Amino acid sequence: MSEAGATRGLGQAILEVLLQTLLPGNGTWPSASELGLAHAVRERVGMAEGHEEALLRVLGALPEGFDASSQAEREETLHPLAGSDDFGALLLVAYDAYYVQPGVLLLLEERCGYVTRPPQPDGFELAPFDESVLARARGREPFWREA
Amino acid sequence: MIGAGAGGGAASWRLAQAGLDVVCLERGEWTDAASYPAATPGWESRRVRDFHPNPNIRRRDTDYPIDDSTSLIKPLMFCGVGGSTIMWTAHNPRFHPSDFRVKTLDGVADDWPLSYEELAPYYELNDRMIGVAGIHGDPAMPERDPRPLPPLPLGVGATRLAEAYDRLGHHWWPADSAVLTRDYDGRLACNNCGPCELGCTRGSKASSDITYWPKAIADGAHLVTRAAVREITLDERGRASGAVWIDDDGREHHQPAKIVVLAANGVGTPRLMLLSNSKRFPDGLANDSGLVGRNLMLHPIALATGVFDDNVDSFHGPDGLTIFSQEFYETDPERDFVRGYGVQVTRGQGPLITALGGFALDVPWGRNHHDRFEQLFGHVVTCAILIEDLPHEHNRVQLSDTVSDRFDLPAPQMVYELDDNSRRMAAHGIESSSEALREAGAREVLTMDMLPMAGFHLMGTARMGDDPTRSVVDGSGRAHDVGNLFVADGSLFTTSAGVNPTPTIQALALRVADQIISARRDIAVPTDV
Ligand SMILES: Cc1cc2nc3c(=O)[nH]c(=O)nc-3n(C[C@H](O)[C@H](O)[C@H](O)COP(=O)(O)OP(=O)(O)OC[C@H]3O[C@@H](n4cnc5c(N)ncnc54)[C@H](O)[C@@H]3O)c2cc1C
Repeated sequence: MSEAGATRGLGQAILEVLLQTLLPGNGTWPSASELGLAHAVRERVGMAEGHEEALLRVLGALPEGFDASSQAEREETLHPLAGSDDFGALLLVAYDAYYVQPGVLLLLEERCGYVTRPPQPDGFELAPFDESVLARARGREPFWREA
Repeated sequence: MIGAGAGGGAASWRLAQAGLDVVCLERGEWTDAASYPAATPGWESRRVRDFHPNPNIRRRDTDYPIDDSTSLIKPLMFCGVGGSTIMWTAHNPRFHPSDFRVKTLDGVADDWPLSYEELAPYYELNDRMIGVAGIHGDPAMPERDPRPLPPLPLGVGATRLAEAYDRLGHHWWPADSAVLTRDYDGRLACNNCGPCELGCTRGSKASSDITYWPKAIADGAHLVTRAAVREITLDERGRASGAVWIDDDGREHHQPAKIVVLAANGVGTPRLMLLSNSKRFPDGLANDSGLVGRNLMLHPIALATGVFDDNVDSFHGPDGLTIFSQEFYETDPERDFVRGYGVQVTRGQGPLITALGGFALDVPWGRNHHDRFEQLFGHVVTCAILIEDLPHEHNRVQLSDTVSDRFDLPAPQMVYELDDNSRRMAAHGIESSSEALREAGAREVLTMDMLPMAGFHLMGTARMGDDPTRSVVDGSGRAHDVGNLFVADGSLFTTSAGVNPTPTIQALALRVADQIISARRDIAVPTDV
């Protein structure tokens, strides 16, 4: 961990910049900053053992001036860290927080046709099986091997 | 009975029904269906936390750690009443007749000490007990009794693949699923909610806590939960005399038994046998062959995921599969591998798992995240290529030197590597599945040679066989070296076949129980129990 990193906590603005780098938005989908995602990430980070430490290590590995650089530069800075388990934990917490935000849920419904309510208790229609799809497959001669 | 999972549930019911006194010791506890994630907002995030299928990530106090530092493929299982069937996606295929005769037919591994025909009545019984949906007429399999329930609907993505397979002249068939498509045996039909892996809140998916266990208990079986067995004890004549188990407070108890049945799965059973060393068995219980823990098989899985321009509704439908292809299942000398693989056509995932890369997806973080997410979410169909894993003695479960559980007992360690045959099969499977996906209209196909989080099927570590130097138990599941010790779980498998194992585990467990019932008067048991 760099010296600067050692003093970087999850309450610092650098977390917001890091999340914005991962989820910058694109005009349609909101960015991490627009959603204030850092707050949701802070809430989630304690939900699994080791995630807080992992995030702190990623923050600690960021160089001085990270927050002042451009999106492209920040992405370049992050690439060498990207394969690590710590970075994996960061992505998990960030996406987990992002994909349950009300604004994002709305887009998932509108743009992707995804029903965002919990799958139970209502479920979805279980259509009856349509046997006609088997017309061709049924016509094949048995081909299992005698033993 | 040690372990209340797929095999333990089936065997306990059969034994209790025949009037035997059954006590089952299970390290986990009953799960409350109302606590499963599917009915709560944020349900998907529990899939990566307390409902992760990997016990090393899930880390409940009922789980035990598994040292997987020496295994390419990571272990997936559940500890509790129902065992790993709490999380299974309930694909319920049978082995082929040829799967029991691989040595005779193909000159590899060993033949099983029993045939498909001998197991078939137990497959039928199990299908009726758990409620299986499917349809007769599959040309890849022998004729059999009709399934109790009609198949699940295919869904958009699988329908496209089915049509593509038809055009290519490839085999496909609706999957057998232990998911109720109609109300059955007092249980509700599936309402197509999707995440079967997170436990079924309606009881439509056949986990053994709701299929076999209520019946076993009604027939007098006694189930002790949060009872972690640490040793199988022997009497002075080398017969199994019971089990030492540890309760939540770390107190030890001894459960005496005339007959001991191990059903703690392909990792838990060899672990317990290796922990149970004695003067008679210094290298682990019933291990004169040296094969306890050896021949671990896992079914490596390769992936080909097709990306479609239009939305194929791939976040809907059951987690498991609705169709499969066995075009490349049997050995063909023209190919560069022996034995074969099955292809399971599965759906996509919810938003969180999609963003995290789902099945072979390449969703980047950063500026391209949102566009790529939208291209993939709901637009994918995955062919999971399930490879017949040949047994090798070097692939094994042993006791870890470095990892231990909360009772300070050595954790099991998985030592596992892929063989070249599997790699060649994976390459073939990716090519054939890519062709099928493109034929189905996929614009792009994303692939993965080997899925690391794929240790769902734990097999072979106390294998069956007629030859006591090449196997741990005989064809009835009885240990060669200890006459009143039996195994009734995935450890039994002589070979792995190219299909999911659980119906075969449960059929074997029912058969092991019947063998115990018919031989019990001749089995030498400890006199003081
Ligand atoms: C996510 C997931 C999806 C799956 N999908 C499918 C599928 O679609 N089709 C299929 O065929 N298979 C599937 N499987 C695999 C299937 O669940 C297993 O093959 C099956 O449950 C194994 O049965 P078993 O009896 O060998 O062991 P298990 O069902 O694993 O039961 C073993 C039990 O033993 C207990 N135990 C272990 N050690 C001890 C001890 N020392 N003392 C007391 N109790 C102990 C455990 O707590 C556990 O409850 C899936 C598995 C997972 C995890």
